[in-house]
Amino acid sequence: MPTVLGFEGSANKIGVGVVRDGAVLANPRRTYVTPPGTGFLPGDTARHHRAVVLDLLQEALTEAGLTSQDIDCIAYTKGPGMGAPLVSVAVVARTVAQLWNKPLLGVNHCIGHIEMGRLITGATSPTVLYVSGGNTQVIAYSEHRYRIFGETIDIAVGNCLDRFARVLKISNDPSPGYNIEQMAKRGKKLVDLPYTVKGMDVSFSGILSFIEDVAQRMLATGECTPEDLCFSLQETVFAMLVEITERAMAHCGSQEALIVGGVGCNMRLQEMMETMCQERGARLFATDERFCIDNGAMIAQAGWEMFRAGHRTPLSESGVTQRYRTDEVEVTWRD
Amino acid sequence: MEDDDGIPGRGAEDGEGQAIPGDPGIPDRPGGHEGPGRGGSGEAGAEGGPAQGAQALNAPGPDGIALPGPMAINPRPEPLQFSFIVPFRSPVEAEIAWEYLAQRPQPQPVVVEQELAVSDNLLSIRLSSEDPAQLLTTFITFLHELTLLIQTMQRLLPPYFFLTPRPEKGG
Repeated sequence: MPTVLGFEGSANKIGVGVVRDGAVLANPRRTYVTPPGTGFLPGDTARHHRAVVLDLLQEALTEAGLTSQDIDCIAYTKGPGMGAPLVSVAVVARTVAQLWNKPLLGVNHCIGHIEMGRLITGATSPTVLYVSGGNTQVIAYSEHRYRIFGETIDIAVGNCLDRFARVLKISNDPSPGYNIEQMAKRGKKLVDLPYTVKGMDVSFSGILSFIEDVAQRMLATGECTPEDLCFSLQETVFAMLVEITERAMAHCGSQEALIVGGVGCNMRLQEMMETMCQERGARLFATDERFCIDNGAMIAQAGWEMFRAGHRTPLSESGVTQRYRTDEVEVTWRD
Repeated sequence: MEDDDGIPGRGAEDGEGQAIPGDPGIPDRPGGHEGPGRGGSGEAGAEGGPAQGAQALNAPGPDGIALPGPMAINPRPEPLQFSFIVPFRSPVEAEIAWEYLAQRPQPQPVVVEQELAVSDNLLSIRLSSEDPAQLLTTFITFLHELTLLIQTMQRLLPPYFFLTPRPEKGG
């Protein structure tokens, strides 16, 4: 009955979670929010994480009703992500592991999302659409690897949405993507935007460049409203994601689809994916904002699986890596 | 003793009123075990710099005049070094910090060499590199890491670890 403490801090969210045998015992989180029109920079984000991580650790243990002696393993996000924030969290995880004399596990952030999605939804072997501010991948499990069937060839869909939010000076609180979603609900006009799917892959840099270029002009001339632009951007990028997911499902003969990652919270994306799944006779799985958005429990859950499978990360190998592919990890805990 | 940022400073005296070795300008290094690599003098402050180029001379000719030969290749410049000593509140803390810093993974390829040594409650660190920009960046990152390490220890270790044992009174 191992109990795993997980640290996550690869982007602007920092979380500490506790998982024991499929139960999430604690999952506190903090978000570093920047002013409208700006994004979060690595140094500032790391400073934020350093300031709150120990409080979060205490909060997690208190919420779970546990002490250090109850913890069997310390898991942390090894990558991918932003360098300075990753390092800040890794330092604490390593120190905790050393002080408490517990084994340490470096976890792939993407696999953390997948394993938490599988745990919460009960999906058995889904085609996974992983969409966030830093990653956009279509993934399916095969022979001990989470294989990437399709992905963005440039920026992540969440990055596209976040950067568009800056153009319109949309608030980053609680997140720019959430605020775009609320504005999109009031949109009435569909503006024609570049739709870029290349086989199994997608591209978002072109649509971002285009909308950054035309937004101010269209708004100034009254051709459309900010709500129309939010609506149009969502409809276009989400349709691209649905297309490549469906293509992967057809290739794999999959009857399940699972959405993970912060953009997976978006109800319009879930609605469009549900329509596609229904048309195929497939089932859609999705989680809520507690587990869609980056959190410590997902790292703890992936760490729990890895720990039971015998994985360990020696201190000398407990670095971080900004580029850590989902398919680099040997998934020994699955058949 | 810590500065406003919570970074352990270098106090002038320990609890017994004795000067702590390694005060600025006093080359010294506490004895004790060392981390990876060799130990060296614990000078505070940066030192080193590019060595002067030398011009080789041919042996004197029949007229007794030694003419300059081909220009010698400039020898490799000595690396820049920055050394500092961090006092901890107890030898246990210093030992834990040394163990952590000695084992943690280093960025590859190694551009900045790190030498660590611990003695009693003092951790001495020396960073050296031929690249001044990398040296500065590594030093700043190192301080952030060290600060977080110390804060974590102070939050998680039981209070008795921080008690400084007092010497018995003698007659």
